[in-house]
Amino acid sequence: MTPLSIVFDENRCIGCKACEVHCSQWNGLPMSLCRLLGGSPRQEPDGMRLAANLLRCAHCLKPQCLKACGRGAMQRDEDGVVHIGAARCDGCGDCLRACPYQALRRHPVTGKMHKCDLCAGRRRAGEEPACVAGCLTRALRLSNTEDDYRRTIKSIALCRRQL
Amino acid sequence: MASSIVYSLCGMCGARCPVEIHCEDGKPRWICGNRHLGPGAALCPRGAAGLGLYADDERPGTPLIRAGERGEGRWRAAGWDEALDYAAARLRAVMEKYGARSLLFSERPGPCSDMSKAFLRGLGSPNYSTHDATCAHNVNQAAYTLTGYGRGAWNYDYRNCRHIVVQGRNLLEALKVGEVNQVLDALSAGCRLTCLDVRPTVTGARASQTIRLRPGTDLAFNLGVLHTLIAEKLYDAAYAERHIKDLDALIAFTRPYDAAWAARECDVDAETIVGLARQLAEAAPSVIWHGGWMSARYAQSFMTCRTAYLIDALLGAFGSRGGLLLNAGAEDAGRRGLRSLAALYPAPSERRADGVGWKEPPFAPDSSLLHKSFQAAATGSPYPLKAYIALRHDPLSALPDPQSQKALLSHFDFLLSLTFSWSDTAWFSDVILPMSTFVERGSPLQLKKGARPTILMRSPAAAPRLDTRPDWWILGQLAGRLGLPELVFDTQEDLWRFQLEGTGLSTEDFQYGAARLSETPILPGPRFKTPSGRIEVIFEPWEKAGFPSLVPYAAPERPGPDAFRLVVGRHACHTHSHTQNNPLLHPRLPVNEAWIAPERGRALGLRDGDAAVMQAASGYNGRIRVRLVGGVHPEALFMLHGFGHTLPVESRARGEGLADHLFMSGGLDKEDELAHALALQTHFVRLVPCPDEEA
Repeated sequence: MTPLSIVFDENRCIGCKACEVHCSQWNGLPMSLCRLLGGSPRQEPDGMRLAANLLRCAHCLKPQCLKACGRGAMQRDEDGVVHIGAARCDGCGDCLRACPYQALRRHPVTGKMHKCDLCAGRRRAGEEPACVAGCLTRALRLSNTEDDYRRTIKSIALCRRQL
Repeated sequence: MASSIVYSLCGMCGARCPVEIHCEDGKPRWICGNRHLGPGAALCPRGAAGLGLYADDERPGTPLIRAGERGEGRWRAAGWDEALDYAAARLRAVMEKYGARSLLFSERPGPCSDMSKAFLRGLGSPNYSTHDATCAHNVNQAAYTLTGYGRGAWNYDYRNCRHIVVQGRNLLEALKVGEVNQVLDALSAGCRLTCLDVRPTVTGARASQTIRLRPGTDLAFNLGVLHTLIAEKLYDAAYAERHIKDLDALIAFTRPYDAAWAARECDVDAETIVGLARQLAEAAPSVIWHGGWMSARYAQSFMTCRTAYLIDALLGAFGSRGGLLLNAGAEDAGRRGLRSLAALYPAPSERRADGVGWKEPPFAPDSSLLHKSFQAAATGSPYPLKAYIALRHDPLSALPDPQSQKALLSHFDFLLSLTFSWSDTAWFSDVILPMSTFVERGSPLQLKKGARPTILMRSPAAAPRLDTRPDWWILGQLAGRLGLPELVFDTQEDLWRFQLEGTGLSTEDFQYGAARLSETPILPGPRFKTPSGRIEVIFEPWEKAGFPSLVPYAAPERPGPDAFRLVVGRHACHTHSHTQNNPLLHPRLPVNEAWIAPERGRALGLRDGDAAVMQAASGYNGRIRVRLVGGVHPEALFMLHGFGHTLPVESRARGEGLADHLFMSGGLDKEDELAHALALQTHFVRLVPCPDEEA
C-alpha cells in the first residue's frame, strides 16, 4: 500500500491557520482536525524565527488508533486511510491515547472522536484535501512517495514538543 | 447532487481576492481562491471563514429601528419598506432644516463606492468620506505629492524585485493572498527582504534581515538612508536628472541627517543603515521600499512614507521592472471604463466640512478626514452636520477614544448604519439596515487597474439566509425615496448593464468572474502626473498653497521609565474588529495579549503569561495577559487591534481581550503634522502586575 502524507513546507508557512479554518469549514466541525502549532514570531539568538509546524494525522502504515478501538468504529479504506464511523464511536478516547502523535480530536459538544480522513469525499471527487487546496501559501501538498512519508512522520513527531 | 461554482469576490477584508464558491444543491459548501485568476485555490483564513459568516445568526438579520436610548441596545424589528421610509424621512427632515450639506457619509471603499458617491452627490452633499484617516491617508498623500498619483496607482512588481524593504508594512499578516505568494515566490528566487519594525512579525521571520527600530523613529532611519545614498553617490544620477525635480533641495534637506545620527536616533548601528543603502544600490532599480499601507501611526508618518518613496526615486525604481509600476487603466488599453453613477450628477460646489479642498493642503482626489467632520459636527463650523451614514464602517472601533466620539455623534439628529456584522457604531445608531454577506450579495462591477486592467464581478452564490439586502440596493431604495430615481435598480443585472454601457462588453463576456480589457500586459514606464511631469521633491501645488513639502525630523516623545508606547497591529485571522465573533475565526485567535520586551517584564516582576492591568493615561484600565517576547523594542507594548468586544449580541467575542482604541484618550486630536491622518501610536500605557489572578 502506498503511504499518503500531507507534506508541510516550514519555509513557506506563515502561521495564518487557513489550514485549520478550511478543515473546520469543510468538515462542519467546531474544531479542526489539523492543528497549526507555534506560528508566533520570536527573536532567537540566530535571528527572527517562526517555529511553525502542522500537527496532522500521519496516516500510519500500522495505525495504533485502529488497533486500540474496541468498538469497531474505525475502518481503513482502500488508500489505507483510517475513518471513524460516528454511529459506533462512544467517545472512550482509546484511539487518542494510542496515537503516538495525539492527532485525533474530540468534538467539544458530542464527545465523539474525529480524525483526518484526508477529506474522503473530496478525494473521491478528485480534489485535494481542504487544508491542502486552501493553504494560503501553498505550503501543503499531498504526496504518495515513501520519501515524503518518512519526512512527514519525522515532522509530526516534532510536534510533541510544541503541544 | 447538483454542483455548481460561482465566481465572485471575497468580502472579508478590503483586499477583495477573487474566489470560487462551490455550491451543492444551491447551498454554499466550500470557498477557495479563484483558480483561474489567482495563485490556485489558496485563500486566507478570513476568506475561508466567509461561509462561517454566512451561516452565523449573530449578525443583524432584519432592519432595526432604535427603541431605547442610543447605544442601549433596545431595537424594534421592522420590514424593509417601513425601515427605508423611516430612514428616508429622517434624512429628508435633516436636509430640509439644515441643507443637503449637513449629510455626512463614511465607508470602507469597495465596489459600491461609485453608488455611495452618486448618492451623496445626487443629494447635494460634498461630505463623502472613507476610513482613510485611520489607514492610508498619509501614504496616499506621500505618493500624490511626489508622483501626482495616489498610492493605488503604483503596483509593486515583487516578482521581478531583487530587494524589498517593508517598514511597518507587515505584508505576511495584514495580508492579500496574491501579494503574499508573489513575495514568497520572489524570496525563493533569491530576492532579499528587509523588515523594519518595532516588534517581531511573521514578515520579519521570513525576511533576510530584520532591523528593530525605536518606535516612532522611522523617518530618522529613512533620512539616514537618503543621506548615505547621496553622500556615497549610490543613487541613479541619470534617472534623477531626468525624472526628479528639485534634487538639490533634497540634498540640502538631508545634509544634517547622516547615518551615525540616524543610528543614535533609531537605536540601531550606523553600519546597518549604510549597509542597507549599499545593498539597495546594488539591486537597483529592481528594488521596492514599500511606501506603507496603514500609515496612521505617528506625527511624522506622512514624511516617513514620502522619504520611503524618495528612496525608491533615487534608486530609479519608479517605472522600472522589479520596482514600482504604474497601473494601467481602461484608457491605456484603448477601452472605455465602466460608466459611472456618480458622473450622473455635478460635483457639489459646497466646501467640505472636514476642510479638505480648502483648509487642508491640496490632497489627492477623493481624500477625506473623517475625524475632522465629527469635530465639525460639534462646533457647527464651517456648518452643522446633522445626519451620518456609516456603510461597512465602524468608527467607534476604528478611530481612537469612542467616548469622545459619542459626544461628537450626539450632535447628529440621525445616525444610520449599513452593515453585515455587529459593530459598536451600528449599536449606537438610530437605524440599522442589514447588508447581506458577500456570499449572498452581488456588487457593482469594479475595474481593477494593473498591467492587465480587468473588470471584476461579485455575484451572489446563495439567496440571503436572513432578511438582508445588498448595499447598492439599500442605497438605491433610499435614493429613490429622496428624489433620485436614476439610482434605483431592481436587479443586479440592471445595474451591471448600466455600468457596461459604452464599454463594448456585456455580462456574458465575464468568464470566471472577470473580463480582461487587455490580453497583453501594458507597462506605462516612468510617468508622473505632477505639474512638472517629474517626481517633485518640492510639490508645486503644496508650495503654492503655502504648505511645506519637507519638514525637519522631530524626535518622538519617550514613554518614560515605567511606561510603554502602545503599538497596534494585525493578524492573518482577523480584519479590524469585525471578524472576532466569526464562528470559524474566533477559536483560532479568541483574545489579544500584550507583548513586551522580556527585560521590561522582568523589571516589573512579570513572567511570560502573567496577567496584568494595563492603564491608560486617562485612568482607563483593563486586564490582559502579558507575553515576554524577544525582539520587541523596550519602549513598546504591542497588541492586536479589534478585540475587547462588549455587545451582548456577540456571544463569542464578548469580553475577550482589550480594545486598543479605548487606551487612546484624546486621540482624535493627535494627527500627522502635515497630512493630518490620525496618529494612533502616540499613546502611552503602564502595566501593573496582578498576582494570583487570571487575565
